[in-house]
Amino acid sequence: MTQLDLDTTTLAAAGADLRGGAGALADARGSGLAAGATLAVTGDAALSVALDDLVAAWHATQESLAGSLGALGSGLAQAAEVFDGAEHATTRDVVALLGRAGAEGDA
Amino acid sequence: MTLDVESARLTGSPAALGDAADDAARAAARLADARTQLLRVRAALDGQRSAAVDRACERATTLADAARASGGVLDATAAILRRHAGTLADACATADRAIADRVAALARERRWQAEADEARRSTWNITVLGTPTPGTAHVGALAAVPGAEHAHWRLAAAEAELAAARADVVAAEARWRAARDAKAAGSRLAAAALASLADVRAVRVASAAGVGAGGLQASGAAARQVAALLPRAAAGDDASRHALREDVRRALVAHADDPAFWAVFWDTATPAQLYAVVVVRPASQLGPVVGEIGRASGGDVDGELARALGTGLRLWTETATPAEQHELGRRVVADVAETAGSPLAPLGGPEAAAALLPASLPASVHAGAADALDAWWDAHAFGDRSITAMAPLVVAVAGGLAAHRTLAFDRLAPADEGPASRSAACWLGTAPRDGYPDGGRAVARVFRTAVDVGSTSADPADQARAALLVSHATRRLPVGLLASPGLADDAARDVALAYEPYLPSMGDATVTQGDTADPRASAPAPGVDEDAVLVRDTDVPVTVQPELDAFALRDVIEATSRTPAAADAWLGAADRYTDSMIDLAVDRAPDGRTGARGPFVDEVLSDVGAVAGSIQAPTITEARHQVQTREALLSLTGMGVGMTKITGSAVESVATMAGSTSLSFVSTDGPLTAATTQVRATQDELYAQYASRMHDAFVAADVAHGVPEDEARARYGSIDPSDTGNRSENDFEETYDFMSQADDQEGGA
Repeated sequence: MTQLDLDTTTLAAAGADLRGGAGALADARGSGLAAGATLAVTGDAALSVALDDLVAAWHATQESLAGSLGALGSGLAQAAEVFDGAEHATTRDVVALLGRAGAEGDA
Repeated sequence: MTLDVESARLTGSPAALGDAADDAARAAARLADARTQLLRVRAALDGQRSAAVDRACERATTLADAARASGGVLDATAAILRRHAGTLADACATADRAIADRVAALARERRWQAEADEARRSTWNITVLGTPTPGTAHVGALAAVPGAEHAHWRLAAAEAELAAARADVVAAEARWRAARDAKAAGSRLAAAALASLADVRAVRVASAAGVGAGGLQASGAAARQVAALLPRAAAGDDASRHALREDVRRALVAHADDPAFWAVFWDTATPAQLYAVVVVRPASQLGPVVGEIGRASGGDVDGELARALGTGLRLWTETATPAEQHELGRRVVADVAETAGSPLAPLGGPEAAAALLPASLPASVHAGAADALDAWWDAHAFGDRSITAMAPLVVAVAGGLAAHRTLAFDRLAPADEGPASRSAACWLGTAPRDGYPDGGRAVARVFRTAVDVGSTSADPADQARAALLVSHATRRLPVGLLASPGLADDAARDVALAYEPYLPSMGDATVTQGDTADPRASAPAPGVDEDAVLVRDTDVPVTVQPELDAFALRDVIEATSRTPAAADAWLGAADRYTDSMIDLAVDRAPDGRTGARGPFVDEVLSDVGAVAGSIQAPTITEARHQVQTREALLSLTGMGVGMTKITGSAVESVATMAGSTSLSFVSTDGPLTAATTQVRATQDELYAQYASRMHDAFVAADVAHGVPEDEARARYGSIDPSDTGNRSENDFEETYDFMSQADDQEGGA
């Protein structure tokens, strides 16, 4: 097995960074945007429908991105833990962690 | 649709719209932050060497691109909302001013109306009191009445003010309407701009592809425009229809690789609308690109369009759920199957549908397409000309199923008897009169794929499904796919290879049926051979085997070995089978004479004899046709020979009788004699090939086990091709003779 020479501090920081970003992105649910789609705000039915559709599109995209970001962040953080806790972590361990992160993000 | 009530405050809240814009901008900022984080992480990982880290970097880059695209969409949304908030604020302010002006003008109108009424009453009183004398000036007369002049001036002034107030009311209402119209126009613009950003699929694919908000808007607008053109391009006069169709074709080709375009297009248009407009030339006119529809094919116009349609649908599927994919796949076929073969059907509809179904599409699309094809088969009962019209589409669906192995197995090899029979009848027992445009390659491939999945499965139930399909297929193929003209060598090869797992049954089927009094009448019913064994008296496991009708099997082998390349597939399968059986046999310890290996010898020779004999069958068949032709000629000369088979002496007799005619040269049995001689010679060659291979391997194996070479050779003397004196009637000869029909000739001669 190939041994890896990775900076676990960098990995951990990157993982935490991305998980934080995923959380912030998840919070950006666009509630103000959704509220803007009401008839009382737009004053026009067609505009409300268009804005509603956009909010729906944004939610789908936001959830996907936040999920992918979180999965990648978790993968990196776990990889850092593996290296911190085991002297002999192998390429396979990291591939498994990051591969899973990628797969979750793709799902 | 406006919600505004005449002369009331305009609905809508510019401030709340501004808040929504701010919210979108904040979300865009979060995405920008996320992108910055991703790029920072990627930069941090850049210095580290590992395939796993490379994968993480790649993922970070992809996500950063998606974040940028989504951020662009939200920034554009914020800009649209802000702009519209401004428009709405202006319109509301204008409307509010107009409302206030109207209220003030109405108040003035009421006041001056009252004043005018009062003035009018005063004037009336004065007129009554001092009616002017005829011939006197009216004013002069009024002036004579105290206060009369003032009353008239008061009335005139009130009426003037009243008119001005009414004009102000009208003007204020006009300003209100102008404000309302400005708001409505702004709303329409904003809604159109947002719609271009709001298609869920389009946003998703744009995010994935890194397409910016501007590109997304342009693609969405183009897709809606083309979808709107479709109904118009299907109607109207020839000139305008032709021009519109060209526009549609150009747009589809131009957007071939535009994911946002197709995401919106297939949410708006239907396959039927497309078929009515888009003409992909029928395969018969495509020349060298026959069978290539759906793939790129250079600069060919139809190839470009076909590629655009196929690529477009693939891009759309990336945003669709499996259920949506299934439904569109179903409609792609159903929309064209409804009118296939009808004079009213759109020209090239099945070709366009085929172009929409490249094999690379997800399995769900092809499952839906196969459902619709099943429904069409049920409705058309294999008889009408729509089968020819639908041929390109059958090829496309078959190609799609073949590309998804599990799907091919599920669709072609059902577990139950009835559905299995129907499957074989539809896919393999029916073919267009002129043959498939791809030479039957796709259908043969999906058959081979389905059989391969089942026969290689560890589950006996799956093996049984494959065997059941092959059992039914053996009866259907000779009158369906294999009878169609232009069968490609590749197709013949795939059919041959589908039978490879069932070589162990071929000898047994031949012997069992050949040993009966009426071999044709004793064909087994289609099904699974529950008693099949690989080698008698052994416990070697065997793949679940089909019941095979020897005559139908011979027809299959004959039809799939008409060229040397096609025949090589059968001979290759026979070689591999022989080698695998030799491997099994040499693992068994020698136990006197041929000992435990004897049954293997018998089995192999029987099975490969059946295959080799079937390959030779056309030689005898062709000779028979020649004889029948000659017999027919003799019959036509009035010699009374008829169509019955005649013996050599009869031929001599007839030839003598015909001496005065031009048929004196005829010897009807000549071709059969020559053919039988040729088949016999081939039999010896083939027997030597298989027998010597087993002989040499078994002798070597016995010697390796300590058996003296002389004794080992003696054990296998019966399969020593060099020792013809020791050779006895064997299983090879029996099955070879039966399948090649050589024994029919010798028995009947």
